[in-house]
Amino acid sequence: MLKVYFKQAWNLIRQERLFSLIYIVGTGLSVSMVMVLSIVFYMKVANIYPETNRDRILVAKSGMVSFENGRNSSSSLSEGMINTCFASLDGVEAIALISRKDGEFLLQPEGDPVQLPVTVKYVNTDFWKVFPFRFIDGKPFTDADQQSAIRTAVIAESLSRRLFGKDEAVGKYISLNFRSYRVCGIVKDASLVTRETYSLIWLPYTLADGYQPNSSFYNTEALGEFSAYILASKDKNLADLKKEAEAAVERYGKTLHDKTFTALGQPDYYWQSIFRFWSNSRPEYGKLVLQYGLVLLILLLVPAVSLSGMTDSRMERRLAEMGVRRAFGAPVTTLMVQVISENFLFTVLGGVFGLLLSYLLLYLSRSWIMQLDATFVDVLPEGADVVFSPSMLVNYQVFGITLFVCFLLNLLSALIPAWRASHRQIIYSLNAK
Amino acid sequence: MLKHIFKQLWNRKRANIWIGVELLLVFCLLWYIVDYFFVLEYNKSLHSCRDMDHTWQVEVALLPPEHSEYQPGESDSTALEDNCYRLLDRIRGYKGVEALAVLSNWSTPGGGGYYGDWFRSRKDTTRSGHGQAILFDPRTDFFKVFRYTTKEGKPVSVDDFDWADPKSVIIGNMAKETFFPDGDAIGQILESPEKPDEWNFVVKGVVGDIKRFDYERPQLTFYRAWRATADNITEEMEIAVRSRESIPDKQFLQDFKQTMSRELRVGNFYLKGVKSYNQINKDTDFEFGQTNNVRIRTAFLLFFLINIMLCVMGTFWYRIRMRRDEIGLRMAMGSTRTGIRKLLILEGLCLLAIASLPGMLIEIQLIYAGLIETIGKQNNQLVTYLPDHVVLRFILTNCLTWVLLAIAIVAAIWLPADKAAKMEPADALHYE
Repeated sequence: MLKVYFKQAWNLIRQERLFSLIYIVGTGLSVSMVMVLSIVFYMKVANIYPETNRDRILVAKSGMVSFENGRNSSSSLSEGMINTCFASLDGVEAIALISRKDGEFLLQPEGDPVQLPVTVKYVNTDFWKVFPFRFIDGKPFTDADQQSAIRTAVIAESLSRRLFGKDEAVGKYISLNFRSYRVCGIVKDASLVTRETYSLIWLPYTLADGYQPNSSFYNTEALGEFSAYILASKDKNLADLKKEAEAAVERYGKTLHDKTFTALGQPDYYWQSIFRFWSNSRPEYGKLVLQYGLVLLILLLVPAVSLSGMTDSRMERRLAEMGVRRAFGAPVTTLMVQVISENFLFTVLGGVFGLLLSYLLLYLSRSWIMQLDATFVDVLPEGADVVFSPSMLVNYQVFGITLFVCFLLNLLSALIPAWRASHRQIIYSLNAK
Repeated sequence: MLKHIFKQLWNRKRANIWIGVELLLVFCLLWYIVDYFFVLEYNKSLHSCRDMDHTWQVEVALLPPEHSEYQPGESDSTALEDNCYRLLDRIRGYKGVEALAVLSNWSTPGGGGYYGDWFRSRKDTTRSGHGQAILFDPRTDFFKVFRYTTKEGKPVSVDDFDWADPKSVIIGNMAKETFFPDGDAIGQILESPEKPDEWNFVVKGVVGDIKRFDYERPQLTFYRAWRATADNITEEMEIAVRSRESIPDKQFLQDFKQTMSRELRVGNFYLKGVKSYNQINKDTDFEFGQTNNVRIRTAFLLFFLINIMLCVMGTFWYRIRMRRDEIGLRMAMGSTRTGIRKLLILEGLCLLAIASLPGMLIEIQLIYAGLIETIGKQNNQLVTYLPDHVVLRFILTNCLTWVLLAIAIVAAIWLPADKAAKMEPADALHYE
């Protein structure tokens, strides 16, 4: 039966080209806007190279210390706090530390007077376990390098090619802010889509200027310059680990000398962590849901009303057919199913167009779209570009979302017209030309 | 004619309800965005007595001790200051440079840094206000580099004012009106409400108002002296220059970098980079999310307009096919082709008129709920601007929305209406 409906719909499309075109473009527009948002969100939370363990990660980025005199301080976390709270928890496989310390880094290529601005991240050895970068050559820096603060560096493939061409880079030296570092490993580039781990050079965190073991900001003990990414082992339930970690933080918060500490509900699941922006307040998830919900509703509703209008006028023209069908005993539900499934063909065509359009929009807006919701937007590092790999855009999750959006939009735009068309008086319908 | 159209719309209310609801929805949503752009464009149109074209931030840095050319003997404070002054002289002497200023990097024009001051007038302590402090070295001409003018448009120079007193302050015009509304500001004292005895300044002059960012309103501004010394040269000093207008920006940048890379290797100093202040301003807009705000709203604006156009086009295209007989009859009775087109377009505009009335009621609710933002609005400011007059702003933004939608509707109806008008009367009547 469905085959007949689709055949009929296909013929309708061919008969009324302009109208069908308008309808498909209208659907496509709506789908593309929704999909841009969905794909951005997908790229932020799904397992994407090198953050392929996002579904096993808990994130603690910040905390707040309250002093007895009523003052508060909030910032990133100290090494001591992270180790005390999370290192001894059962089921923790590794804890990656990423230093928030940023500054200006210039690379001095050998034999070239022009300095190269680069992104540098200070990380620990566990970073390479939590975020399984693909090593093209060499190895991560070792625990010994980290402990003795030996100047070693892991660099990205693109940088290696730029500095050393096709030559083997491992074992060579690079000059960064006029200090020389030995290259110990080369990894496949991370995209700026994964901004937390993106870098061109990764150094042991003990090399950061002014680093001192177990230091903290202004003697707060708990506050420092690190974010912790806690990888749970495969057989550990993440929700349990989160609860245990929260309890550990709470215990820790009470042991501090003449002050208290709270991590404001952290560690977060990875998806929660992308909404955590301020270090002194919790994200209001309710408000966020409302906000995004409203935007999605507008993006679907505005086109849906106009599409309903068009479907309704199309039904008007087919009233006679409906009348005949009903006169010969077709039940209302059959007619409604027919109208809705016919319409689904239009919507799916629009959906395909919309998905392609959303790829185009994403490509055009790549320099800022990933930070759509940010309060402060990071400027792209000089010379860097956000690269979307095909696997981020073309995968069954994205197709699934598209199909669901189409289904929803189709229901929104065809349900009422279908109901109205199939509930007309038969006499009236038959009388229509 | 109008009455006739309304009657027809009423008779076909079943078909018109969809397009009506769509117009209503889009009218409200579009108005929300139009209102935002209205305030934004209004703010941009406000005059700022400062000009950032052809101005450049010259960034110098010190070689680290690890560098092969590092000279340990040049790093003590006397050598550092001497080298710095020599370096400034060399920049000043460059042929393309019209003026040079040394300022604190808290005060970068167009930058993200902000140094706040809170003052009250000593004469009338009830008059107080927060504003931005701009700190620069009065031995250099900050006002000339950024082409400051008075309120009347007369150019000002740092040398116009007396900087001998370390507690000198120059204030913007708005600060003058806030603190000293009746009479002369010169010689008056501004003091901190928290520590009036320690933190006070003597007003030595008044310059025109500036906006911190182009999309904001003019603000209270205090210009204070800050001197480059060995303690702050490396961390806080910023060098700004104005290039001659006769040299194209691109050429200046290229030549300056090329010549000065060598020239500015003084002691341990070297030229790190040159950036235009307009670019710095653009980057700050991006970082503060303003660029994204505009982009997202523009995307929604286009989305709504395209949607309404598709809706109108689709609906009218069908409507005209359904009403061929009517159109044929009209033609047979002597209606011209233009007449038919006009009828259809008027029909669309009437629909818009009907939808906009409940639309405005919804908008009023949004205003009462406090959901409408006014960019750049400051607390307890003296001057009221056009966007502060709620009723006037409401009327203006609604008119703009109406015109925008009307253009979209006319454009969308044009194609189907043209098709209808070009129908042969005999053909059209054939359907009757």
